[in-house]
Amino acid sequence: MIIKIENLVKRYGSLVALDHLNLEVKEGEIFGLLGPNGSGKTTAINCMLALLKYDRGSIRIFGEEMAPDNYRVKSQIGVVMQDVAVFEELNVQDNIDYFCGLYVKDKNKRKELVEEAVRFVGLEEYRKIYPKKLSGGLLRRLNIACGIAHKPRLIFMDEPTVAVDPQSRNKILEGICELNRQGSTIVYTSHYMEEVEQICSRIAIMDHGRCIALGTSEELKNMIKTGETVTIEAVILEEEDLARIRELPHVFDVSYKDGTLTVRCTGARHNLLRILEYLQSRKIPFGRVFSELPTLNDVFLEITGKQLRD
Amino acid sequence: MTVFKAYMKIAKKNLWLLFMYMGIFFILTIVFQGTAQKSESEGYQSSGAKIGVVDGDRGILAESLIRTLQEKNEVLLLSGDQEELQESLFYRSVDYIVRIPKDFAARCIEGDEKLKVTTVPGTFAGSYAEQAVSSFIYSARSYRAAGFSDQEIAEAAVEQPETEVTLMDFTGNKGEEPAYVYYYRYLPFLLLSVICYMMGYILMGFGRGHLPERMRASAIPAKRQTAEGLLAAGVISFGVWTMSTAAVFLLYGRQILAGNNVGYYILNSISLLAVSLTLAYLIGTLVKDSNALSGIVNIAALGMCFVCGTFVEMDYLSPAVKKAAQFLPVYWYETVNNLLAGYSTISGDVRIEVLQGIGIQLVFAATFACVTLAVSRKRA
Ligand SMILES: Nc1ncnc2c1ncn2[C@@H]1O[C@H](COP(=O)(O)OP(=O)(O)OP(=O)(O)O)[C@@H](O)[C@H]1O
Ligand SMILES: [Mg+2]
Repeated sequence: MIIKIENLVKRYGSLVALDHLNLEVKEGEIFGLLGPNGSGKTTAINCMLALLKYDRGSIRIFGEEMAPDNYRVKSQIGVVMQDVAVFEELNVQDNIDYFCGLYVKDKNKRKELVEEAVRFVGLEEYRKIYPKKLSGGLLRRLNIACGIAHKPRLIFMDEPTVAVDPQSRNKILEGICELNRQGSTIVYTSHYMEEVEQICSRIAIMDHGRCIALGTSEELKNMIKTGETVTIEAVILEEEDLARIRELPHVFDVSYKDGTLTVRCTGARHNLLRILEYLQSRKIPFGRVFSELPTLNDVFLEITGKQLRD
Repeated sequence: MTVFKAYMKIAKKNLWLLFMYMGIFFILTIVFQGTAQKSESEGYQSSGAKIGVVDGDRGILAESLIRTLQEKNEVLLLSGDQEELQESLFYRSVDYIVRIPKDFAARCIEGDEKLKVTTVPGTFAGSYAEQAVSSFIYSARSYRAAGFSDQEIAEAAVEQPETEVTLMDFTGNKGEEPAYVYYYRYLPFLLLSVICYMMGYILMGFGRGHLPERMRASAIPAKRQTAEGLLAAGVISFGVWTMSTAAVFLLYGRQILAGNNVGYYILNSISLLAVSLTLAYLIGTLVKDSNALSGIVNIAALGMCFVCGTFVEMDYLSPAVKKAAQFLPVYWYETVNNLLAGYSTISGDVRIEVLQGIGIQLVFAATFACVTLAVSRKRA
């Protein structure tokens, strides 16, 4: 167990940011913390980094109690903060070298690591550029490079892909998997479920400072009733039709809003066909048709009754 | 030494600033020194001292004193109105004011009451006038002792053989202030601007956004980070100081070493350095972007230089400004500087005054340091 969090409570005045949070992260995994804005992801990470004092509970990293002066633990940790934290006064290369230098003393070794990090985030052409002149996405990449250049055993990444274009985002996600293959354990927070699903071996879904579900993405999806969500556009439906659709086999939830019918079914087979057969038999016209397997959003929706993202 | 090196690297980015200010500084020093010396020496040759006389006696001896003074000096008769006196000193229409009291003969010649005088301190004209007055009084006293009447004394005094007047030469420069005095006078402008900007820039960088947290999460102990930062600050500011001191020795080394006050000049500039550095820390902790930084540094450095006797000689400052300036460290630096320029050797009361001025600067530095600490504690 590389991280073990027990009953962590963190309050900001009357606001409970972390509410008896329990988490365990295993060596070698990419662990995802998924949750909407304000669910406590950053707070949890800052507690793990000993940047924040907390009210109750314990945090052990590498089997040791985490504390502000536990530099043995800190020296094996990499940090990519949610808010970009680099020096405006130093260029790309000097920034990476600086942060790497906080962990690696040997100059030659560091030179190699910095070079590797520059290539890793694809900033080869920007070595001498100052952060102010970088676009938002490039700046994020620099932020990542500064956090991982020293090849730490454990890396915390707090929403590293916010404001990054899809192409760079994929590159970053691939990179994270590569870091993981090279031996780093990664704690990754995001409110993008697709990302988390794509790279994380295990996922904790957070809401209001609590972990409301935990497992692989398969396990999480199996926890819920929804097996398939069928969406059909532009139908004109009466109350009676809705009632009839609701009676079809496997259907457990029907909603109709703005000319779009959404039917959620348990099990993942033949649902679409049955619904379309019904509509045809009643001569009800319809437009585009979608069928989706469950997503983490469905998991979140079923547990909390609200959407992960509005 | 990662933190130390980062300080240095960022400082290097602003090296141009140091050279630019050095350049401005030398031009300033040379220009001001040139004009000041010219006007002073011209003033001396054409008209001796400018003496204001308030004649409260109007007797025959008083008149005789005035005539004696008139021989070598420009004499201006004043009414004795306090405001007029202050103004004429302030605008330098006179360098020296003598008040002749009623019953001058009885009180000052027969008695030994001293004449009330007001002078602009440290000016050579003042001491010249003083000699002229006391020489009249002493000879009048000896004539009186010999039994002369007022009338006789008056005649004798005016006919009196020209006494050799030896000028008291305070600075060893025939009444002119040596060039390095100007250099040291303008030094606050250089040290404050450069150190506050350079160090403020670095500290602002280290305090920006979430960098402090990022640093706290790193493997370098907080105490070590602080220590490396302080070391770098020390090296940088000491470097600037060394350069400025090396420059004065390079330019005026022989003159300054010929005087006795080298040590005090250095001590004074070091306390100014302490003030600059601690002020830089304060500014660097408070300011968030570089435009604001240069604005504040300009206000702090130029502002203090204008009201504390750096750009405008202290004698020309209005009393109100002078009073207010006492709450600024540069005032004390310049006070010490003026004392060092005015006295060729520092001893007794002057020594105490000099050390006091230096001490007050250090108190200012300590205050800035404490406020900085309090501010950053509050933030953490
Ligand atoms: N310094 C603070 N003072 C007071 N409240 C805070 C502070 N920091 C965070 N909070 C509150 O704590 C809760 C959790 O915030 P946190 O930043 O951990 O959320 P998050 O999951 O990281 O959100 P996001 O996705 O927006 O980054 C929020 O309600 C937030 O308003
Ligand atoms: Mg966050």
